[in-house]
Amino acid sequence: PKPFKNPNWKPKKERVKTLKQILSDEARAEAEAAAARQERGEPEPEFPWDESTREMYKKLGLHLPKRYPTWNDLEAGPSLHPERAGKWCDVTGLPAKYTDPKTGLRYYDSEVYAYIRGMTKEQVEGYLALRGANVVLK
Amino acid sequence: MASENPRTIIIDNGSWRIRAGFSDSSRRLCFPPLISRFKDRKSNETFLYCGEDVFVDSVTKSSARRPSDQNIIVNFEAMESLLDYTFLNLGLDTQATGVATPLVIAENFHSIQYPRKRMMELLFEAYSAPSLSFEIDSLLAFFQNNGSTGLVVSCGHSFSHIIPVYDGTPLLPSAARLNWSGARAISYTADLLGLKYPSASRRMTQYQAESIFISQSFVAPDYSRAVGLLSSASTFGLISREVQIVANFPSTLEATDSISGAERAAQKTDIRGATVIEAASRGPVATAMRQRDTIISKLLSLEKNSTEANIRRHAANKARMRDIALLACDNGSSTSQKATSRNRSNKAKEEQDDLFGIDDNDWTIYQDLKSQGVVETFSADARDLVKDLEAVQNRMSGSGIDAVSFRRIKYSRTLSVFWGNESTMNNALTLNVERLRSLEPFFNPSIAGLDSAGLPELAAHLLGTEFQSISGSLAADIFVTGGCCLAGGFRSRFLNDLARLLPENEVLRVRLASDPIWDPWQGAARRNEVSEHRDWISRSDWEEGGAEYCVARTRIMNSSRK
Repeated sequence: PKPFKNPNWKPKKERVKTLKQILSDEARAEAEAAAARQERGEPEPEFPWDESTREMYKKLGLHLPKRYPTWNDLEAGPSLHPERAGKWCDVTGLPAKYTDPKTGLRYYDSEVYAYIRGMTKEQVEGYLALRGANVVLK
Repeated sequence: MASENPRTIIIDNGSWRIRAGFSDSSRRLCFPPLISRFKDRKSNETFLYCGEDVFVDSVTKSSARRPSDQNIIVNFEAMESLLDYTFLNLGLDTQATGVATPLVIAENFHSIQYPRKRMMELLFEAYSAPSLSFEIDSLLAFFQNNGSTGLVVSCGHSFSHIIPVYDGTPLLPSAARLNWSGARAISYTADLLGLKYPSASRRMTQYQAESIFISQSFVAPDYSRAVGLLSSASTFGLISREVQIVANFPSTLEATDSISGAERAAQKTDIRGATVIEAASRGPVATAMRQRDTIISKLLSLEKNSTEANIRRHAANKARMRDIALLACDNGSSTSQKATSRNRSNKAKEEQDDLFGIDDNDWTIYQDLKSQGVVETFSADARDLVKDLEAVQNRMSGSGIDAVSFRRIKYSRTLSVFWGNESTMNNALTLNVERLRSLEPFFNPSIAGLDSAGLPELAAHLLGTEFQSISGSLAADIFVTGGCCLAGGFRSRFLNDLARLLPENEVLRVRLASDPIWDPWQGAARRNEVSEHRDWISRSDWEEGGAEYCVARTRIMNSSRK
């Protein structure tokens, strides 16, 4: 018995969307709305920020954007110093001085190279996937 | 002041744990956001397991579902079940209709409208909540730790964020999100270990991976130097650890002998590839592998032969059909191919005379052809070979040997250090570089293939460009929260990395939340006592204003001054 629950409540029988789908739906809706606005010649609606927020931004001399930040807006940008990351052996994690031209794996020394030569395709792809360097063919 | 504000129910809706409780009570719930439905075939009843109860049995564990995709709630049916579970366990059973207390929902920062809308719908419609407030968990933790101006760095289970806050006002449009988190670090660790020990019998469970990650991972103060320790035999023991996984593993008596024999032989000779392979090639392991290889090659040649045979049969059948078709033409009418080419002007007569098919018995020709046609037969030889192959495979996997462990004997230096000694036999994993690698992407995301700047660089960027005018006050309080910040060495690494990126005389202070796990919840409770005016979204707002209006209001509330 759940007295805290509304007895007339019927949950929506909607298919569960993934995060990706939700994001793409929102992006699409936003694009359509923007296109419709442009047709009608309406300007973009400003987000109704709170008074305290506006004052703070003004006080700090910062620009308060007209839109609320979206998922993509918030994504961090790339590093300005990618070379500082260094290259690491995919198998052992030690510094990688060499790269195998055939598989693209980075390795530390000849022993690791011999091991790489004997790897199965799944292992190679697994290691590359960890670095985001594998090619996914759908 | 405490008596003015009514008690609330605070739910910290995290992706690692849901923490819930009454704001004025010390009794709290903390459970993983999982549900599992189990249908008992005999009694035809469906049982719902929530939270940790999901692990009670392997069936329920394997069908466990989360309400969130990372940290965004997407499955509202699951969320509803978890809320039922929460409210039942909080003792709301005896309350009047609906949840009578205002609800505070703390969530990880995100800017998506749809899940917020559905959540409000769920809480207002299904639970008749009188009023709601949505908060950002890391900002609540900041408040709990007496912060008012600073950079809030949140390294949680699903995503990491940096949010600048000035005088209690979160500057949300300038926030940044890094796609590395506790969950990713855990799966990264599990993947690394899975690739390191590829034998199929060692598929790690989520819980094991999490335990290994939490207990073994730490942040290296200097990644290159720490990794350098691993490449030297004298110092690798400082970092290398053996983790024993308690699991069922078949006994390996037979194989151990050959391996240890090989190792003994290897120790005698100076360990290099050739000699060791020879020593090991006489053991049962190597013989098993040789047998397997011969069987496989036999099967392949058999298949090739059969394919060729099939092709031949195909061709023969095709030729036969063509002949029969021609004959049928000759039988049924007065025309044949030769006749047609000879006598073009008699075309009308030919068509008229094509009487094949009028008689029903004519069609039986096709049935005859079909019965003689190409049928793939799996020859007796192949079947026997497959059985032999299976037997050899069973013997090999039963003895816990696979190609990797065989080859492992060869390596003396780098890889044997990397793999540890005799680890596969005892189901013990050796962790060396994995301890450092899973948390390093917070500082160096390209290690995990992310094309992003690390947290210190993001912070330095915010301080250096957009907020240069106030960078002094922001840098004075860099507040790190979220589960991952509990890892050893996190704070000092962050401080050092950031200090290197900022100008010399800048005052820099990096501090951790006193209790990153519970501070968001505590912050919400404390705010309830302290603040006079609390911004709520009431039911009337929902009913009159509608979903869009309410979602916009939560966004405004989140970015306004507290």
